[in-house]
Amino acid sequence: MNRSLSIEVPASGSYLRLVRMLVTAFAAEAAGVDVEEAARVRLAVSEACVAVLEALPSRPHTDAVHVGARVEPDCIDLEVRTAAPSPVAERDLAVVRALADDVEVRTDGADQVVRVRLRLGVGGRAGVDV
Amino acid sequence: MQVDVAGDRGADEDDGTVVELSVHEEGGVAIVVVTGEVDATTAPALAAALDAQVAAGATRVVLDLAGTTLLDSTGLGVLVRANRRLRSAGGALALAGATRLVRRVLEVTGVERELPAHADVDAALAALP
Repeated sequence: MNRSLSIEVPASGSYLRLVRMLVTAFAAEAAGVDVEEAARVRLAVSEACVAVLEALPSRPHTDAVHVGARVEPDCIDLEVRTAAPSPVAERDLAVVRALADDVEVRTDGADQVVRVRLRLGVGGRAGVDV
Repeated sequence: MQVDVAGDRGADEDDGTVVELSVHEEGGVAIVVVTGEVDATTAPALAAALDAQVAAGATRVVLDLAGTTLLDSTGLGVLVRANRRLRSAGGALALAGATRLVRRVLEVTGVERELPAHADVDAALAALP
């Protein structure tokens, strides 16, 4: 069974929707997330991508962004990384921190990495029913 | 007014980000209906639509988000800036019909304090100054 997804797209906002579609479809297929959870996964991966894109120097650049998703028994882990000289800014992570159960930001060699963990079936730490 | 915005791949293809903005008027208040996804690629179009309302002299604007399937932090920034501009002109922006996820994002980012989410357009209209 396919439990992980790895995609690479050019570092451009033009590919955000494609990334959202692929990751959401994967989450639905591999983890059977419901509509509400799928919306949370979709926004979380999009926000993580935007935060990583913001760490890149201004255009033109030809860098790629790598997006990984892995389904664990009770959660989905997302990882977004790109080669950028400066770390991902905390101010760009407010929404993803609010949506996710755990967010880790680190520098891995030349890459800036954002890892996001979304627990399934609990609606995240703030709860879905607001 | 009708504006279609797509990503680099164009509006005819399914995989470009698309948002549709339409504007009408109700009792002197501009109602901007946002259908689709507001992210880094489409937020500028929303900003332009709101700027156009301000330029046309509108001070009170309702943003109907019932058909907005995604609103990211870029979009949130557009809303906050538009609201501040309208407030400085004696009016305000009011949000209507936001989905649960959008309401949650407004809440956890604290934007809700200055931009509460109203259930529908009528409630948003009633809340305007």
